[in-house]
Amino acid sequence: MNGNHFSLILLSTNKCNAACDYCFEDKTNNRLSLQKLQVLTDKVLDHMEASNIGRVTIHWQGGEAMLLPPDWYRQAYDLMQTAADKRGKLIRHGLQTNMLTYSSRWNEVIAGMFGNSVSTSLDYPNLYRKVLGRGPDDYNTIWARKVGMAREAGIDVKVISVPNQATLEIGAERFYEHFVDELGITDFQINTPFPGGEANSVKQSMPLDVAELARFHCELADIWFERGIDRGVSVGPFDELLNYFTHKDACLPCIWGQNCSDEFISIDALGNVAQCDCWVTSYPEYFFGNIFECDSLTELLRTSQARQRFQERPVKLMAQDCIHCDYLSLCHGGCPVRAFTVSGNLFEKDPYCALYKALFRHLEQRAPQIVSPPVRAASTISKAALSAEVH
Amino acid sequence: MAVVYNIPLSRLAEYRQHDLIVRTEQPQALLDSIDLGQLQQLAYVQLLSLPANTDCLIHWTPGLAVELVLEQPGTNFPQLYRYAKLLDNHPVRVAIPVENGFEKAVKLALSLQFAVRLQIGQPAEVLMQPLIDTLDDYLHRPTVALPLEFFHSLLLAFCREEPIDLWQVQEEDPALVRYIDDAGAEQLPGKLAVQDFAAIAEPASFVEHWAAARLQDGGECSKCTFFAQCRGYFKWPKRDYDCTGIKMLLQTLRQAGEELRRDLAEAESH
Repeated sequence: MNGNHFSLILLSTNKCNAACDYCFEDKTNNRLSLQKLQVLTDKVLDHMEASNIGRVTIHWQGGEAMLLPPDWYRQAYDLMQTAADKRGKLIRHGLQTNMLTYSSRWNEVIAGMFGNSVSTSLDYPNLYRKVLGRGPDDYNTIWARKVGMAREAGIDVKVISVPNQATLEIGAERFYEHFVDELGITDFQINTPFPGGEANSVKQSMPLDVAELARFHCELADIWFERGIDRGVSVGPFDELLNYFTHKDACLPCIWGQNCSDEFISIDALGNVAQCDCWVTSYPEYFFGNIFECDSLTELLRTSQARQRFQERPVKLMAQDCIHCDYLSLCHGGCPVRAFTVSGNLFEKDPYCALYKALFRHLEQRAPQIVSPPVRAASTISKAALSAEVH
Repeated sequence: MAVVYNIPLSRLAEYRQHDLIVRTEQPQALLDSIDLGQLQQLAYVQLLSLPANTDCLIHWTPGLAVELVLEQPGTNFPQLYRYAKLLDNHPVRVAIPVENGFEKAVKLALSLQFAVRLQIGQPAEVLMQPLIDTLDDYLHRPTVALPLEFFHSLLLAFCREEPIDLWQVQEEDPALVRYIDDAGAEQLPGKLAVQDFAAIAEPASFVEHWAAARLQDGGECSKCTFFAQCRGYFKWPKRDYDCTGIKMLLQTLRQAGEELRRDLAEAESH
C-alpha cells in the first residue's frame, strides 16, 4: 500500500442486527469510540504521509454500521476531515449497510458524508439473510420498506446479491425481473458465496455448482444486455467487463485485482488490521497486527508476516496454471478468501475459476455485438495496436 | 538526433551533459544521486537484476520512464508482480530476452499493464512458435493493451506506410545509443556489444555499413522484402542465421498493418 490511493474497510462496530446463515463474521459487541477513531485516523494519516499516499477511501461497514447513530458518523466525519485537511490528504467515505435500522434521521449524514449513496444487500429468493431472532421474510419486508423510504428521500441505493441454490433454480429471468421490475433496483452486483467463518449446514453447500452458476451469470448478462443497458440499469460485474472488452476504462471488482494487498486493508472495531473484512472478522491467525497496539501502521504493514503471505500469493499462483489462462490480465488467480475458505490454502486459485472464465469468454464474445467497435478491425486487432492508431 | 548514453549510475558525473539512460541495481541510489535539474536529459532509468524493493521510486519524479531488465524470464517472471505499483506514477517497460520461457514473462508483463521490449537477438528455431503465439496475442487478444516492441512499432509503420529501422526500434543503433560499461569504457549498444568498439572506425555509420554489406554479399538479405525495415538486424552476429521464422513474423505484422489501414480508411469514409 504505497501508491497514490488505498482503501480502508473500517468496521465501526463488530455487532450486527442480522443473523445471516452464510455470514463469515465472528461477531462481538465491540464498537469503535470516537477517541479510538481519532487515534486510528492519525495513524492512517501518518502512514499516508510516510508512503506519499494522497487519497484514502473509507468503506464503512460492520457488523452492521448503522447500529452506531447518525450523530456518531457526523462527528466521525468532522474528526477525520479536520485531521486530513491538516495533512493535505483527501478522505472519501462509502457505506455498506443492511438498512434494517435506517430512518430519515440518516438522510443528512448519508448526503453529507456518503455522497447520498449507500450499498446494501438482498438475495432472491432470500433463504439465508435474517433479522436477528426472526426469519428471511421479515428481513425482506423491513428491507423493502427501508429501501423504499431511502429512495423516496433521493438516496441512491446499490444492492449486492449473493446467489444460492434456489436462485439458480428460479433462473436469471425471474431473478432480474424481481430486482429490476418488481423492486425497481437499477444498480446491483452479483457476488459469489463462500464458506467463510464458522461452519454450518448452509456453508457446506458452498461453493455452488460452478457450471450452473456460470450459466446463471451468462444468462443474466444477456438479459441485462437486452433489457437493462438502454434503460440505465447497471449490473455488476457485467457492466465493468463490458467496458473492459470494449476498450474503455474498467473498474473491476476486488476479487480480480492484481494483488489486493497493494490496494486495501481492513480494521475492525477492536483495531485489528487484516487484508479485508472477511479476514479481520474471522481469522485471527491472519491478522497483520493491531493499530492501537503499534507505533506505526507503516511498520506494522511492512513487517507483518501474514501480510507478506498475501503479497506473495499472485507470485506463487504463477507456478500453477494461471499463467496459461487467456484471462490472466483480468483475474490474477481471483480472491484469496474464496480460495482459503474452500481449500484451506491461501496459495490456491479461486474456486470459481471456471465460472470466471466462462463469464469472461461470454462477455468477450458479446461485447462487439453490444457496443460497436470504432473500426471493423477492432474485433481482430488488439487494444494495443488499435489504440495507437485511433487515438 | 543526439546520442543517448546508457551509463551506470556511478558514471553520472562524467556524462551529466549528455542525454542519458541511467542503469542501476539499487533504486535508492537513484534518489540519492540524481537531482531534478538533470532529469530533462534523462530518457529513462534502467533497473537491473530486479531489485528487492522499488517502493522508493513510486513517488520519485512522477512521469519518468522506468525499464525493468528481466533476466532468466522463464523463472523470474512471477517477480513482476512486485513492481506493478511503479505504474501508479511511471510508464514502465520490461526488457525481456527471447530465451526459454520468455513468452510467460511477456504474458504476465502485459497482463500487469507493463509495456514490453523484446531483446530478440537471433532466436533459435525452438523459440519461433512461442514468438508466433506471442505476436498473435499482441495482435488479437483484447486483454493486451500495451505496446510490445518491436511488434508495435513495425505494425504501425506498416499501417501508416512509413519507413522504420529495426535497429532504432530496438535501441541498438550506435548512431543513437552508446553503452558505457562499469569501468567507463564506451561500447556499442545491445547485442552489438560483443564487437570491439575500438575496431569500429565510424560507430555512427555502423548500421549503414552493415546493411550495405548484406546487400552486396548477395545473401538472404539481398532478396528479402523486409530489408527496408530490418537492414540486416537479424544477421548480427551470425551472418548465416536463417531468417525463415523471422520473415513469418514480419509478414504477419505487414498483413495486420495493411488490414488495420484498410479498416481505418473504411471507418473514416462512413
